[in-house]
Amino acid sequence: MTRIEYNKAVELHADNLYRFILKNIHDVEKTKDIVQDTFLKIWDKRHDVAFEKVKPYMFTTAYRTMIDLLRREKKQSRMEEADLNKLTTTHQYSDLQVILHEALDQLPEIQKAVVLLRDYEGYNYTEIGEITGLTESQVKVYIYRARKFLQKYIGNIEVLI
Amino acid sequence: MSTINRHNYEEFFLDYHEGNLTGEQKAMVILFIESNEDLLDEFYTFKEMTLEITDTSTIEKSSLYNGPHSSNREDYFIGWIEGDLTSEEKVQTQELVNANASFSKELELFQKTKLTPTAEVYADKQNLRKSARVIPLLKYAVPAAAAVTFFIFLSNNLTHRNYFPQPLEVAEIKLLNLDTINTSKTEFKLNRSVLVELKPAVQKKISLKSIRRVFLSPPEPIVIEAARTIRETGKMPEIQLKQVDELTDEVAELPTILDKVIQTADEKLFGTSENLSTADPIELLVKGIERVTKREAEITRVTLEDRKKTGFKIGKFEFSRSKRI
Repeated sequence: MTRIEYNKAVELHADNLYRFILKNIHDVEKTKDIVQDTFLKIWDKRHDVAFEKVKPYMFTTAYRTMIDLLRREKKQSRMEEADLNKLTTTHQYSDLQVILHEALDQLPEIQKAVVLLRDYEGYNYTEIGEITGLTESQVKVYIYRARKFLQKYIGNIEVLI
Repeated sequence: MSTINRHNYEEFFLDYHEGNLTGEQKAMVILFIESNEDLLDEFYTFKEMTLEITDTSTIEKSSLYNGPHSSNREDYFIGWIEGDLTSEEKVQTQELVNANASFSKELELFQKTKLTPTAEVYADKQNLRKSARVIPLLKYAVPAAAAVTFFIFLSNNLTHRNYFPQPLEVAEIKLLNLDTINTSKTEFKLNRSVLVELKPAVQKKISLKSIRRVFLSPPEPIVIEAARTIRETGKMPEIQLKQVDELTDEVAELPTILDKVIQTADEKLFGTSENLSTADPIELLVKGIERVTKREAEITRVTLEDRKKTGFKIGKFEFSRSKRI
């Protein structure tokens, strides 16, 4: 990857990467740190990474950096399943996406990550597996579990409304 | 089947109750019990071990069928929105949804679980970009080229290594019996001698162009200045006797001293050139000094072995200093 291609990757993917990490950890400064760290690693490895492969490489690097950060801060959720009982009823909802993102934040970290990669970036199960280090089957299982939780979450909200 | 005895009676008891014995075998079992009354209770125990179907519940067979059904519909609904279903499975799922209005609502909710990307912008992209190491040519190239040219030029001309150090070839002009001179133009002291530096190659004939510089020795030397054009025009300039205040032990010198020797024919000081008997600048200088000082002077050529010149030449330009050694 040349310097020009690297800069093009910045232009094309920095926003997406920033959004992906931000949606996962909800910390702007830490997200910026992760993005900068990721691009620094990519610059160092630019001779080994083809431009066509830079996006998954970028997300893989950023995801692992994020996981390391979460582990260090011991914030990683150990929930196997999201808890629908945590559904709050005090908010007034008018925007489905707001509700969805609230539901998203109640998912276990891994489920949240795979859903974001799926919906935001359009990755298939194999690609998500490469980024997260999961098997294709595991990715599918996590996405299905997440969908069921999200569906029940917004279903309950609709009932409440 | 063998004859019943106390070692194999359990098999006969079980087959008796399950109806697997012939009439003769049943009679044989009854006779065995009558002769072994202690086994009567056990005989009836085997009767109780026979299980009867009391649960009439049935399994939901639809769950065993291949394809979408009420039990696995969620997986098919998710597969629908994820694009994982085959065309056949989509048809089957659609049929299931059509058959149950509540399923349609469920599928709709699943479709709503797809996240819409938000427009997050990473504002510091400029810091991530890498700039090429561009050397500003206009800023550095010209000075660099000039420096290279200068040093090439310098190195070519510094080949005149024999230029320095070397003793000074001078013409020494001594005023006789005089320490202090007063003139109408300026006041100066001339307590030692006037030195006229000659070109090294010139040993005998002193001409205008052979004189490199004229200087008066310290402690209060007099530097004689003349106009540059005199040498070119041949006209006699006004001589300017200038007292130089700040001089060190080194000999005072002027950078264009070659042009400054010609002033020795200063018309005001020496009279017109027609009145002069010689065009030799040294002689003119001597005459001028004699006229100013109203004292006699003498001129001798000397080599100052106690002075060395150090410096270098670039083309016709000379950078040097003479220093007492």
